[in-house]
Amino acid sequence: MQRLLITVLLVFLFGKISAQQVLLNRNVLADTIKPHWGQNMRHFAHPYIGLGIMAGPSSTTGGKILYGVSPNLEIGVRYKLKIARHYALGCNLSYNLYSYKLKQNTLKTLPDTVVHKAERLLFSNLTLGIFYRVSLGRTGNYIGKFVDLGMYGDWVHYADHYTRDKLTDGSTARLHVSGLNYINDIQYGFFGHFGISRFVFTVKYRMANLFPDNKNYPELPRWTFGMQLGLHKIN
Amino acid sequence: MLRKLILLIILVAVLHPYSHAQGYWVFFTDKKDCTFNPYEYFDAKAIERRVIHGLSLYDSTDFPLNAQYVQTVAAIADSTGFESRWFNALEVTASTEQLSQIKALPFVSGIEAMQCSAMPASYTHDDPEFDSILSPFLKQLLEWQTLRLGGDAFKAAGLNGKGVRIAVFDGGYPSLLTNSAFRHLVWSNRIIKTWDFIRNKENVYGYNPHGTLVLSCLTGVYDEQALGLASGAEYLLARTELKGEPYREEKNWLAAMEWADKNGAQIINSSVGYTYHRYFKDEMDGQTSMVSRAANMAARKGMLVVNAAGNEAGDEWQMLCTPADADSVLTVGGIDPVTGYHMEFSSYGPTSDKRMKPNVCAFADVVAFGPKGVENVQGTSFSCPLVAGFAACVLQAFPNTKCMDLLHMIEKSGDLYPYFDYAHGFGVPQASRILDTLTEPSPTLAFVKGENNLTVIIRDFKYHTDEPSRQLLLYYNIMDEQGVIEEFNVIMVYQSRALVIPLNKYPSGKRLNIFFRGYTSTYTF
Repeated sequence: MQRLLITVLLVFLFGKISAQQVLLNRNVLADTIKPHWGQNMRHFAHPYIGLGIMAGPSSTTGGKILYGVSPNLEIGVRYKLKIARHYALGCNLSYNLYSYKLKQNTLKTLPDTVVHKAERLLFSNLTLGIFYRVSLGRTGNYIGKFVDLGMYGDWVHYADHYTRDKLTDGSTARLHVSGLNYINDIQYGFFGHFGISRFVFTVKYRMANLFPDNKNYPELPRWTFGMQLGLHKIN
Repeated sequence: MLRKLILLIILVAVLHPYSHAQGYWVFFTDKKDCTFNPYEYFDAKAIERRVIHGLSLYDSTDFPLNAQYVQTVAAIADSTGFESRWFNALEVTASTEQLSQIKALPFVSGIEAMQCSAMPASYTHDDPEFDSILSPFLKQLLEWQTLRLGGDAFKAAGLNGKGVRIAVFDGGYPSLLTNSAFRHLVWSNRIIKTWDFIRNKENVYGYNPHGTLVLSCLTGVYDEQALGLASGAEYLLARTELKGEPYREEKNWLAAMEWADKNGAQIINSSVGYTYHRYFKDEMDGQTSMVSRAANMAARKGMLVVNAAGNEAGDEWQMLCTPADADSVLTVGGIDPVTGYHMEFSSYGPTSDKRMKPNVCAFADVVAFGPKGVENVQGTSFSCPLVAGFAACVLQAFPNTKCMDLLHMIEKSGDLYPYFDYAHGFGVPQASRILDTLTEPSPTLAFVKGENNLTVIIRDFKYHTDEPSRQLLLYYNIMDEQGVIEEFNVIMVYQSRALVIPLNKYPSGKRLNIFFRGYTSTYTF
């Protein structure tokens, strides 16, 4: 064991003395290779998260919602292809959760006239959006200010109905109905973004109807306003 | 639904890059019918500089803009601002429609959008140490930051920048008038002029303390020890930087340049730079940015512009900033006073068109004096004034030196000269190389070509454990036939067999340049 330790020590010392210590090494040729990926380079992709609220009127009084507690949660990936100094095309692939808290009163007709303590319709969508981006002002390799205008398509892969009621004995009854058969599976609409670096203000408008025409249900609010946070480095 | 779609489209159109009013330069075709009297316009020192450089006093780039042209554009645009004589350009704020009208005018040769967001080149990884009492290390650093440039030789020769006029561009100079470090400057009335280009007022003695810190590395004195080399110079102080205000800073920098020229500046110290917020790396070519063009124009008018290289080596950018990329600018990189070589954040050269930068280097970890007292600060912001002060001493010693000759003299005084790399430039300028004729060092390096390897031997080398580490630094680079460096390194040597390079690693024609303790040698593969 002692011999091993001495050998290790000698090897270390010999190595230290004979080796030149590299303090700085720069390969200039590698440095000058122009990257294709970067915030304002030809390609850029980044994840993002978003939170929005529903806005605008329902089509009739039978489908009113409680504003402010009807959120839209989004998580996705955005890809951008720069086509000119100020212009880019892009697409988003995301998961959207739309939660509409239905207003409970005697005028309610969606999905029925039964008045509950609380009632919610939840839509879980996979979304594909495409957009055209205009960058404002001149920037280097940096996401500055921009405006996007685009369209999206949703596949409603499930829709749920939740109710909560207070029973006469004081207990709470919760009902969860999934696989609703009165929903249109495909949704679509258009959207706009105004962004500064990773902070994006979003506006969405749903063009498609949530419910088939033969159901005669009132349409829920079509507008969503929200914020997104790009999960990329701020240069 | 259609209405809503139209509403969104209108929203986008309104937010289109050029649909809303923003800042632009409008360039005019000529300066017809403009009158100019240089003796009324220029300070006496500005005229003296032109005479030394053999420049005409009636250069059209000094003429004012055509008043009629300015009036016509002003009637169309939202507002107008600075009139650049150098570029025959007017600063305007205008919308897309207004720009179209302006562009159609027969005397308008072009329009360019303004840039913004300069970054001061100071680098603090944690809060600077504020104290009126220095630690032993900082006391040593304070003395060393000028000694490393040969400050003692300048002092012995009585050189402190006296009679040289330096313009400093920065974000503000709070506490300068009451700060003990500048007492000698204030009491002898050597602050010739000041101007705040943000607020268009004379008072610059507030705002961002960066300027006070930088100025202290030019002219500050603490406890009878000079923090910089130009404690005897005269100063023009300009406030040009306001972080966050869009489109104005580049314009302010240009305006300050023309103001400094008019008021007789011989040296400009600029510790700011523009990088990825407005430019791409391939635009660091010394010609794209307005500020690099302005810096080149300043050199044409006989002013030496000394600019910090930037602090982006640790970022994705890595490269120097603009106007440090300008050909005529003396770009200053940063070294670590303890290790003696490249400071890890100091931006690298070359420019995107492969020109050699930085030109020289100096300490990027210094003792400076700010509003709260003496501080230890980091950044190429502080390397820059150390070299600007050096330049002032050289100009004092050789007052008829033209600015590009001055630049080359400073390069040749670098302690690595003629060796060069893209981190250190030609090394730290040395006063002794300016003031004395030095003897050629004796050859210490030899190349031994073996069957497979090239070995570099340092003659008569013996390693002593108590030797300062910077005495053990060996610099080497690989250069192509055009003189462009492909690779550069710094190693610490412990034995005479300093370097072994496989012969097949580099093709024929490439050159290996090596520097060790004052001696440079070259081997061609």
